[in-house]
Amino acid sequence: MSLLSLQCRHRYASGFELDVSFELNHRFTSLFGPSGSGKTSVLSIIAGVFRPQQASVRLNGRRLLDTANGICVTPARRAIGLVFQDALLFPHLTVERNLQYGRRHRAAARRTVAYARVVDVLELGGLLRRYPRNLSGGERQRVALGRAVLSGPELLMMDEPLASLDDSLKGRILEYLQRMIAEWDIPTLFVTHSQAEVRRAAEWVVVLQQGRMVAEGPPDEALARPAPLAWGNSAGPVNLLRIEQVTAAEGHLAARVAGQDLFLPLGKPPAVSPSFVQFRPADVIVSRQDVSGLSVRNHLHGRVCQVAPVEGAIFVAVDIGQIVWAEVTPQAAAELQLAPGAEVVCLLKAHCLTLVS
Amino acid sequence: MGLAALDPPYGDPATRQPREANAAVEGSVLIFAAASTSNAISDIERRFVKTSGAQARTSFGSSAALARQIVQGADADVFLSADVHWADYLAEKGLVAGRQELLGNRLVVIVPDDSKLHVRKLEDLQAAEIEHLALGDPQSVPAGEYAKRALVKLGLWEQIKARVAAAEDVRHALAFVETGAAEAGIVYATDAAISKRVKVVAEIPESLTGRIRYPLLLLTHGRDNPAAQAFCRKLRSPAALKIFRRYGFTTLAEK
Amino acid sequence: MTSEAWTAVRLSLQVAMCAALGGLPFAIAIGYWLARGRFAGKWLVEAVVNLPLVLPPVVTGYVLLVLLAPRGPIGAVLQGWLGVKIVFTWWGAALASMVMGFPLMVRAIRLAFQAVDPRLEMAARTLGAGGAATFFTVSLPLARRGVTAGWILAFARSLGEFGATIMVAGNIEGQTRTIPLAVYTLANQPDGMGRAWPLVALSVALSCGALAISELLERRQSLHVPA
Repeated sequence: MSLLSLQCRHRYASGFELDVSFELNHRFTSLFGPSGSGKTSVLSIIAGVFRPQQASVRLNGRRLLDTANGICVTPARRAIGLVFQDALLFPHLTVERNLQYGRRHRAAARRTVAYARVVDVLELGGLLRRYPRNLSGGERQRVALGRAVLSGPELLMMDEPLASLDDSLKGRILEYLQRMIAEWDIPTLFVTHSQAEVRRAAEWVVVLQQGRMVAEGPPDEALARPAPLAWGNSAGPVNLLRIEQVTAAEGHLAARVAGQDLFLPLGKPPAVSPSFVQFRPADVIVSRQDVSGLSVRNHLHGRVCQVAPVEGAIFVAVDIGQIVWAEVTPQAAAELQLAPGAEVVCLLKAHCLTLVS
Repeated sequence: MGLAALDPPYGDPATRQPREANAAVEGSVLIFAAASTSNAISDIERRFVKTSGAQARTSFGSSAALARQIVQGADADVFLSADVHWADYLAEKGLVAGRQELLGNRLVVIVPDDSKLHVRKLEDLQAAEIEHLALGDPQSVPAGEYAKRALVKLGLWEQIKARVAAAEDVRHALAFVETGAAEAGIVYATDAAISKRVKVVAEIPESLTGRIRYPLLLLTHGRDNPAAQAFCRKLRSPAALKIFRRYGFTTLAEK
Repeated sequence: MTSEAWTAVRLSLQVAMCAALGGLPFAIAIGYWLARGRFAGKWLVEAVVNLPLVLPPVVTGYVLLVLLAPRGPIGAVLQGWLGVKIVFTWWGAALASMVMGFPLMVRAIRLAFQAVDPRLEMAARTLGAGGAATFFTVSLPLARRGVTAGWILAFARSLGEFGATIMVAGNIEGQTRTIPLAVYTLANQPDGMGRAWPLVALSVALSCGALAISELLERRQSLHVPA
């Protein structure tokens, strides 16, 4: 029996057609796709706030929606926590009353999560008497997380909860989220259009495009499929490497990535571990042999494991211990004879790297 | 000053009539008339417009409201009031150019046509079954003043006054009885005559109400308006008086 | 001011209070329904609700009189079953005022509900609150200023109601003679206008006060709506 199984079909008046089915068995799954791919619709169907023409939804074997048999459990009884992009805290209630809202409307048996512990884990103690309008974006999102968890959900769903936060906050909220999942063991479905967020947190990813599922699997695999590689703008491919032993050195930060040295621009070393660096595939220079006399600081040795042509470019996956994607022109790929198995060096300017934690 | 003074050709009705029927008049006249005369005045006004070629507009309401509007400067040319006091009041203000008592009326006691109450005379109105007695507001509507006078004279007013439903004008008092809102009412005989849903159970003699007279006023605003003068003549014509009588008025102008 | 005038003031306040309170639950229900509901014939409901706003008050009053008087359909039931006659009582005046103020109340309440983000109601539902709980813990508290403003508008309208009241309730001193009826009665006496002034002034003051409070609340409501 799977945790969640979904099958849905809906044709909108605009002509857009949603036709998605998948099963979830992982603790932390990402629903990924560019905007307009149908992610929020899928979430709304699972939560019960939108009823499609044809669908069936099961959660832990419990039938929540089955249009063929006229079964539809109300959102209030689905035990699914929903966290929205803009938090949607109740403006007329204090943080404390917001947190307890779900608790008050849920049967006592479902109150599995201790209020004090949530306040503790999400560090909400200082905010309890405030009203939402007096909170920062990150604080609001933390309260929204706490509110959803306290309603005792069997499944937690988040609709781009980080999209409206600035970069420095995203990592911190993700960290709270992971702490929470670890503490209460709540399966989570996380909607995002950022490949970095997917790589960072998800165990499994379901990739949507124009109302259909085009890939699913572990992030490294699913994101290596042609569709996600070809997307431009914010949903486009992003490299995310896990780094260790970040230390401040003369004029820069030093770190280790898969046993190799990494130079980062000077900054504050992250207090938490693991940390990540993020960079664009277009910023990676691929060389068949190591070259000296260049200003480029980072020379990561690896072996080509996949070559994926997309329109106007070729994405080359290099295994340096972790996967690095490089975007090169078809001419360069031909000239360098980039094929699986080829030994290469990835050259990375230190200033192209962004440290995320 | 009578209307005749402003109207030298006035004479024997028989000789006057052909002349009036053919008279073509320019201009327009604005007529204010007490609500109780609205049906008759509308009929006469229609004929007047057809035969004279003049324009006419009418406004009906309680005599008090209309008089109040005239004092405030309404452009009325002719005013047929149900009440001599308001006519006197307008005369004091210098707003009247000519005056003649045109019509008389009587008050009657009415009940809904399906009423089972035993009401045959004014004294019967004391019965407890009559929760409300519809009158024109005695403080402002002439029909109400006359009714109050009759009840006072019979010594009934003090018992009845708490049950009086005072209406804005006499037609509203009629509506109160028609709908059954009031179990009985006192209205003009002329109002009772136009409603099929009420029945007249008693007439109130003039000895109790005092004489009920409708003065016709040519207002100063209409003094030099040929259409206004023509309309006043029309109101005193035998044809118009016949219409008034058909609606239950007594006519006083033909002597 | 005379004791009759004070009676008119007390009666006006009593009638207006009852009219505004009596209409409130219905106005909230219809206002919410109009703000959130999507159904065919919505325009018809709106038109009926707004009818007293455009009809001459005397016509509305006449319709009410025909319905409520003992010979009318509703009045017959009240009279026959309960032995109650509502016309010519202050209850009748309150009912007429309620009908006249109802469109204003519904309009303000409807706007207030429209300003509440429907996704907040959705959030409440996913947190386990049923339809009624969502309404009473989220929608209504968030619309409370608009609801209060609507109540005050209806109250103010009732204070000034004349045409429908005089048709349904008559003009009975001490029972249905509210401020406007008292002013009217005075104005219809040749020398009454001068004596009506204190009542006129008081009426103006009451209405201005109510409007100012309502305006203030609506402004606060609009500040309350998240950007």
